[in-house]
Amino acid sequence: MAVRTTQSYVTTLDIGDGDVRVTQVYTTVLTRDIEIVLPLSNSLSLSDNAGIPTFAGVENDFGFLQSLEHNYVVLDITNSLGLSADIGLDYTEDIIQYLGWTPRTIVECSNSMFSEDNEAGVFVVRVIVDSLSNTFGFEDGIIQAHNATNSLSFEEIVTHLQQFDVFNQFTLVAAVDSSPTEYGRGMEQGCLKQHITYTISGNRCIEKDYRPFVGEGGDPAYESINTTPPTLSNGTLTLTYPFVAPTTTLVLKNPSLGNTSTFTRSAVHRKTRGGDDVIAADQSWPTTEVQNLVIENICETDIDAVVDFLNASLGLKIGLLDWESRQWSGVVLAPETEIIQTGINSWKFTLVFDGELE
Amino acid sequence: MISIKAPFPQLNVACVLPNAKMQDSRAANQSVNVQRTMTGAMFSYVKNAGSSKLRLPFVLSRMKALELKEFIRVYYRAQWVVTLHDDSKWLATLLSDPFSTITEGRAEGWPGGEAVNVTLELSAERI
Repeated sequence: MAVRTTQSYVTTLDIGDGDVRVTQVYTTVLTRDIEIVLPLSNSLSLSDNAGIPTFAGVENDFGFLQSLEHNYVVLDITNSLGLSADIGLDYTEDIIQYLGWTPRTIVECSNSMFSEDNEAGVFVVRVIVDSLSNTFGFEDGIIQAHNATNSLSFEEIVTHLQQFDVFNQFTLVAAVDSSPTEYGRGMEQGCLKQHITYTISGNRCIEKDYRPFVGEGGDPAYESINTTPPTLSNGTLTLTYPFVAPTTTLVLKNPSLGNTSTFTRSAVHRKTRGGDDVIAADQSWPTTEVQNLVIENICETDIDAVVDFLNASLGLKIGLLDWESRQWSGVVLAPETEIIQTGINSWKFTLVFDGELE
Repeated sequence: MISIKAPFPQLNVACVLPNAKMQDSRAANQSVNVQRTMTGAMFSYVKNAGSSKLRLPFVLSRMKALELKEFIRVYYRAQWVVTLHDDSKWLATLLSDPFSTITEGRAEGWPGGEAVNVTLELSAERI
């Protein structure tokens, strides 16, 4: 017996007579991850300073002590670039001293080198030397590097407190995989999205009211539309300066009918060779809204106050409370506007205001 | 009734407008370039985008004009699906730049109390 469970999620957008449009969009997202390994430039410098062997403070099988001191300086430039780096270096050191003794190995070593990159460390090895074979391996891993340069300077000082013929042989093998590799991973994701648009046509007021119909889905590249109608009430045109903590207030008559509000967008608008109009814009590009208000029938006293206000707030942010009691902030664009005397003690002027709604 | 929906193709917001005023226009977005050879023969180049320019003048209530302005503020860079009064559907791009609203006069009883003149210019292709 097969059991099938179906779960449905129902949202009521609105109720009324209208039409519903369901849009299904199949979206394909192609992502590609690329990891690149660039060639590494590794340089090794090696110097060997084998001093005259002497014997003092002897503590080997024959009462002799020979000390070897290795100083390593590893400079990891990759780390200074802020990238994580691996340095792969294996080397084998063979020190052969023909003393006729049996081979011995390390009896004591101290290591202060590998705590952090970009630090010079001192590696001290005390050995009882005959045919000695020491193998040191240290590793640093490069995850991703661009023009990484790793340098290693190696210095060995062999001090014998008693003179012997000393023969040091160093075999240094540094292997660096310098072959650049590039590989990409493509991943295709497909998803089916459903978007709902609806309108209700039963109520004729929808042609006059502030009534956007917001369905479900939508493109996240666009911000949400404001579904709340703005609150309008009767008011009087009032200019204030400065906008924050105003000290000057100018109350004017409301503008005459015919006032314009101009919305200007920042967009690239081109016509293709075939004649199609295309538009492109980024959400962050600015938009402006300019109010053009003609204010008439102002008496001479008020027009003097207008001139004083424009001079005081020239180029500065002011507040504008419009006749619908909406508060704006912005700048007067045309302070050079003509003030026209239309009659006895009757003046008019045009206020061009570039601002945004608070 | 005219409706505009956006953003295409992921439509989810619709704005309903009244029918446009008379004097709305529709113009094909195409051109002809006629040339003559030295011998007098005529030939022509035709540029046809397959789209049209729609010009829709409206008288809106103040509140509807504010809704349209909000719609344009959010979706001015998107493609719209416009359904005209004759139920024809168009895939449109807004050409009006800048977009202006002009207060025509008082309108008692209309939301907002004012009548506003708005003209939409669209580059549209019938779908």
